[in-house]
Amino acid sequence: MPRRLRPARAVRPAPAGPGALAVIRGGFYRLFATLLLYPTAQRLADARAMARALGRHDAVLAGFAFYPQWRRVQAALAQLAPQDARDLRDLQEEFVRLFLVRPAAVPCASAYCGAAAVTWLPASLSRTYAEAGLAPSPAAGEPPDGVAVELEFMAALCETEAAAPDGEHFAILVRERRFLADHLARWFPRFAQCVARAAPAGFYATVTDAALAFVLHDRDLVGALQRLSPP
Amino acid sequence: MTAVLLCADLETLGWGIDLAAAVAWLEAAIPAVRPRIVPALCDRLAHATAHLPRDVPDRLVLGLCARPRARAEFQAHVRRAGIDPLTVEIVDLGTYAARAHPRPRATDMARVLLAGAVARARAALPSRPEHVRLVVPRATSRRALLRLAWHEYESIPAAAPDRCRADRGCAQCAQRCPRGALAVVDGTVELDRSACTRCGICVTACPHEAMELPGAMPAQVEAQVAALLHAAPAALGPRGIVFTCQHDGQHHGGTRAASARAATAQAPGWLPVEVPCVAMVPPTWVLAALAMGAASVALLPAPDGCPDGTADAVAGRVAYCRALLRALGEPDERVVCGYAVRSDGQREELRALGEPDERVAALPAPGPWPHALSDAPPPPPPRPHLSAPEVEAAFAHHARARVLAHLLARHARMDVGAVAHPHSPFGLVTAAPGCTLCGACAAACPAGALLLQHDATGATLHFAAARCTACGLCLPACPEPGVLALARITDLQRLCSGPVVLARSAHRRCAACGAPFAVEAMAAKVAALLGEASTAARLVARLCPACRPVAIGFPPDGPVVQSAS
Repeated sequence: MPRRLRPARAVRPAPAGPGALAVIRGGFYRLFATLLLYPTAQRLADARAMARALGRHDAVLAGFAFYPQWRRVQAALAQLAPQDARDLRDLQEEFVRLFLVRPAAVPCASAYCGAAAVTWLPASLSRTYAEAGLAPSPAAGEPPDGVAVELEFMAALCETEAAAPDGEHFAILVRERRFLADHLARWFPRFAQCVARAAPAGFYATVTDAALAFVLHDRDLVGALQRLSPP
Repeated sequence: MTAVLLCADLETLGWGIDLAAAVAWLEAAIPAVRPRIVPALCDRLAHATAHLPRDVPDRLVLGLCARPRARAEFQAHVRRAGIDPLTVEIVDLGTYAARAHPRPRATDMARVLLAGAVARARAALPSRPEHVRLVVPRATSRRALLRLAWHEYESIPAAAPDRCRADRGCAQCAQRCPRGALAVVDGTVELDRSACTRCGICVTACPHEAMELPGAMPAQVEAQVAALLHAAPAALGPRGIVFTCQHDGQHHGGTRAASARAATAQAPGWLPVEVPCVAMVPPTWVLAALAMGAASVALLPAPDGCPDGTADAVAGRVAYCRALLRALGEPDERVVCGYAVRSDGQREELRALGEPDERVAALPAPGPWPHALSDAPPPPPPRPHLSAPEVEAAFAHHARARVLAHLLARHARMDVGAVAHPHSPFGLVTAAPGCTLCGACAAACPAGALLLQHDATGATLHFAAARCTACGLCLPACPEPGVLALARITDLQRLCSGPVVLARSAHRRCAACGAPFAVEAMAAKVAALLGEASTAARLVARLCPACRPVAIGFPPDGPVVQSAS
């Protein structure tokens, strides 16, 4: 029975061991996946909790190139009042305008991978998820090539990596690197570009810019880790 | 606001630099600069941000005793302070303190170099996520990465999507990349991030100024050159600009930048400008530097041959610049190709470059403007150097022709002919009779030098020599063999005169309805292919596509499905 890909409520505190990096990376993927789903009060509360948990590692995060973009996400989240329904409604309107009704930026990989991708990509992704023992949760209602599902998949891989014994890291890193190179990092720049063009000062432009910085950084980092890991 | 932090050890290193005098000059000469002298800055570089002014600067310049080897922790602190680490400029003043003597001269050089670095930092683009690459040194262990060691980053090129024309078939950057790291896939430029050596050749190869490499943008180099030439005191005499390779051996396996710095420290008048790779410097930058007031310009490629195989290209560009200067009546030694040398032969090698002082004496004084050539009112007298507004974009691709026009005006030479050279950055396209004005060449031209325009009477193919990069993509696109020709020629008169008409043809009108349906030249060509006497040829030659079926008995086009009522 495959595990369901769905947003968790919080990020685990980073242990001071070799898995710390994977936990932090997983936390970011999960946060961005949550933020790129239709905003609800619960999801926003979850995102704030995750951002707070990640914010505890500020000194560590300043060492990463995506830190400035991450700080802007933190600031944007802090500006949203926790109980203000108007803020939530504005966010929902922006989400609908950008991603749902005549979307300026389609939040699905197949929109950016050529005309034929819509036929083969979702099935191919489902197989990739199944190989890792995962499947998109029907409750979330997202297609397999949805941006949130792909981010969530990476979060799940990072969690597996954090919990894996020493000898099993290499295989997981290979899977992560392949997924980033063949899927997420390949099309996400164009998606982020569409969002930035449609609403450059909006909340989602801030989120996708940070997610883009993180994803590209993670592709480099996972590649370096894989090169340095014993097969 | 720009903060400048100077290591206090520079006071006592070698001949030393009078840092207080340098700080006073910077404060007086450059607006919005906050210089500070920091004790042992080189030893505690990571904590440099503790010495920043309270109102956080947006740019940072460091004057250090030597280039720092590891910058990861420093980058993290700078990032945390709200400054983009890829915009930080580091000036190796130690070389000048140790080698330039006496002390006042070293101080003069220090302030000139700092002024250049401030200008370069201010012109820097804020980096986008696509511009950043993680650097993993060979000695790094997996354990160190996993335990969240500091990471170092460097800039890599990325195409600005709003300016890139890869979707229209342009692949100039990919064709010029010496490592094959760039490719056009589905109309988008893709970079193999691990294969890129950051040479910057793609930046100057792009005819649309779409390739961006933070730290080495044309605007930054231009700002630095302008500031160096402006800030150099009269005591230094005529100044020469020397372009050197920036890399300290990470990709190019040598100490080129360090040896070039050492060499220029001993040569009065030579002001160094570091670029990622000298092969990225197009001839128009060399000429622009001359137009901005440099007495000479030198290019210092690798002494033992560039690993990217670009040494020939550099030598070819120097030869082209010399040919152009000869055509202008200037001494061609103003542009030189030198060699950075290793530690044992620095002095002798730099002497081989010569002194800019000697060359400027041989320069001709600007002559009178030849009014007799034109009935138009006399133009303003020629200026010796580009004025401030002209300097602003002199290194930009779109200003290439403007720089040459300025050189032409400066020497009042209206009789300069075309300079044919295999390294000419400009091309000259000509069209022999037989052009059908199909527009295939204009569609293929990535630089917009060829333009097909339709008006009420006909079609015209224009050619703008100022835009042509001599890429040659128009030639295979032309369906008429032998009609288009391209020569690598810099025709100064053509560059200054604007677009010219390569071919023109009137519209042919339908004999039945009178609507224009084809260009005369194209209709004649098609009719000739079909055979002049055939019915098909007569139909095609006389009637528009809508009238042809009617002429042979088909009913005129109507709606396929009509309402029954």
